[in-house]
Amino acid sequence: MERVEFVSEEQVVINEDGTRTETMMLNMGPQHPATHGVLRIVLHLDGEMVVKAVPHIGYLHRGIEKLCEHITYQQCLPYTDRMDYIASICNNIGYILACEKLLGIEDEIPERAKVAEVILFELGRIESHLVGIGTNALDLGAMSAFLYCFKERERIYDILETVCGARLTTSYPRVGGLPLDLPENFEEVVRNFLKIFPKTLHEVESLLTRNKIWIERTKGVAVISAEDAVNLGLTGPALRGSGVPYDVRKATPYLGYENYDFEVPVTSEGDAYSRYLCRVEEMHQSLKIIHQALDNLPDGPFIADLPDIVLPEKELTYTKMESLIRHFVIVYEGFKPPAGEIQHAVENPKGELSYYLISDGSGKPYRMRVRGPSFVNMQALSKMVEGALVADVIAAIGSLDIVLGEIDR
Amino acid sequence: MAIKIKILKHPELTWFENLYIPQILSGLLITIKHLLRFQPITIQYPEEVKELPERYRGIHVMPADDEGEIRCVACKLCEVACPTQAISIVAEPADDYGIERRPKVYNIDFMRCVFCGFCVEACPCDALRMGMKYELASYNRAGLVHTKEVFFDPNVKSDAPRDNANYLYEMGKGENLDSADEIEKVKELTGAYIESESQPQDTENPFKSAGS
Repeated sequence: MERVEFVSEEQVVINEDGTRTETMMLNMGPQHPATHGVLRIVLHLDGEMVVKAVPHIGYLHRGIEKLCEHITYQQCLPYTDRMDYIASICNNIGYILACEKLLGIEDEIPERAKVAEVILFELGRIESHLVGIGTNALDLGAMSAFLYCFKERERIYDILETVCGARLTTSYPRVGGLPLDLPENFEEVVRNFLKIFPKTLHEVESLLTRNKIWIERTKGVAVISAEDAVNLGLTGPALRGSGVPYDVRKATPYLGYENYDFEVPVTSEGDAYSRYLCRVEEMHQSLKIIHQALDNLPDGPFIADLPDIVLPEKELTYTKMESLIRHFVIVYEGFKPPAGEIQHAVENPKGELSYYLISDGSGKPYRMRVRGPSFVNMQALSKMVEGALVADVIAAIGSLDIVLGEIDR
Repeated sequence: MAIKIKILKHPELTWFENLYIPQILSGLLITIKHLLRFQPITIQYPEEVKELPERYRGIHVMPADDEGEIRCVACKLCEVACPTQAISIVAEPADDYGIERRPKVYNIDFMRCVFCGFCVEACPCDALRMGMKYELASYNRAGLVHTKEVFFDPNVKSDAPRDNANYLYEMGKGENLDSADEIEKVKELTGAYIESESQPQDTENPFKSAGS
């Protein structure tokens, strides 16, 4: 693969008639609104053509991976909210699943918790895709589609708020299951959402899918071939838009995804329009999964009975000395997974998010490494926009749907 | 397991759809429909306030016990559970025996707090809850460090049973710790522990009434 120069030399060409031609360097970002955060792209321009685009990252670096080495496994959870903050519930669930795998307690998680996590995960996916499509359309001038997307996202936030207690920084599931049972009206509000949402999705589709202007701006723009996409390690809609049917939910199922009936949408063109089509279809598939999960939502315990890992019930903590001691030990020292290392991947809305955890047998992770989908997907940007117009860079960033909170971590 | 794949095709536009204008008009039709329906989804914030769900994690509240006192026993579990070290507690003896503790200082720094709710989950005596308030503006940094006087709300009652050592001891024995030699015993057992706490030296001897 071609090496991307960090600081490039000026390309100066002396023409036959003695005039000089050189490329212009243009900093796009970090304050540019279409860079979805604080991404800076150094564009080398020949007129309005992009000769080379080099993304510079790190403006939002907080050192989450290092911070997590100094706190217990449980305390890492709020940090995962702040990586991909568009779909923080998905990050949370991914982290919790990784911890459960590290502890070797995947089989003891109650069915109710698993199904609830699937519902929340798919709601997070819809929410993220709404933002992805909405902001992509906004950057290309379609304001109303953005507003309708955000209106629906608000509904999902309301659901998350009733379940988790927070809209954006959910910090909801715990290792072993759910900290609190789903609220009584959960099924009702989700079913209500399922009733309303397809109408808005249809509206957004009718605004964009067959819109000549939208097609002109996205079709054939920011193309990446299937081979390049695989070589660069793209995942999620960015990979499926190029025709590779890879979905972690199908490849290595977690949370019982193998029991749900859904399809993996694939388009072969690999342009911005294909990725848009994939996202829309994925939302339809997510709705299908939520319907199935709600129908099969079992009653029963919502957290596993694991005295070494899960906090005792509050009632017992208030009244029983043994429970109180156990409560203190778990909060103070955290649960202690056996020494070893695991890697667990989930299909985040933006691609494959995987956590790599090393345990040295203590209550704190020895190392936590996050493989974020946005970081890897962004690598395709240079390749996509080479030879394109400046305006297509905006379409490319929007169609990749990157979140800088996760890239910089 | 065979993977179910749905291959999406790019739509072929008819010549009619290719004429920009109809698409612009059909888009306008949708937006005008929304305009005529006139269902604003925004709320006029300071005048109208959104209804919050029961589980909302807002600014902390300290409920009162039966006697209208603060329930916190300064066990510092919330301080330990906090992922951002936002909570700082200084303990002091709450009674003459030096058994019960209460917070002398209980501060939460809202410049650090991330409202994860782990402190509430960790609290073993229902002394801390997540409240419903979320307005946190301040003109200076000091205004964002809230003290226990701010959190304490005597109107919020908690009926969770108290489980401190003295309570359990009295309940179990069916007697009070008031005889002189009992107090001496407790003093011997807990004296070293109390002294090792990081307390200012100028505070009064917590056992001052024990000998009298």
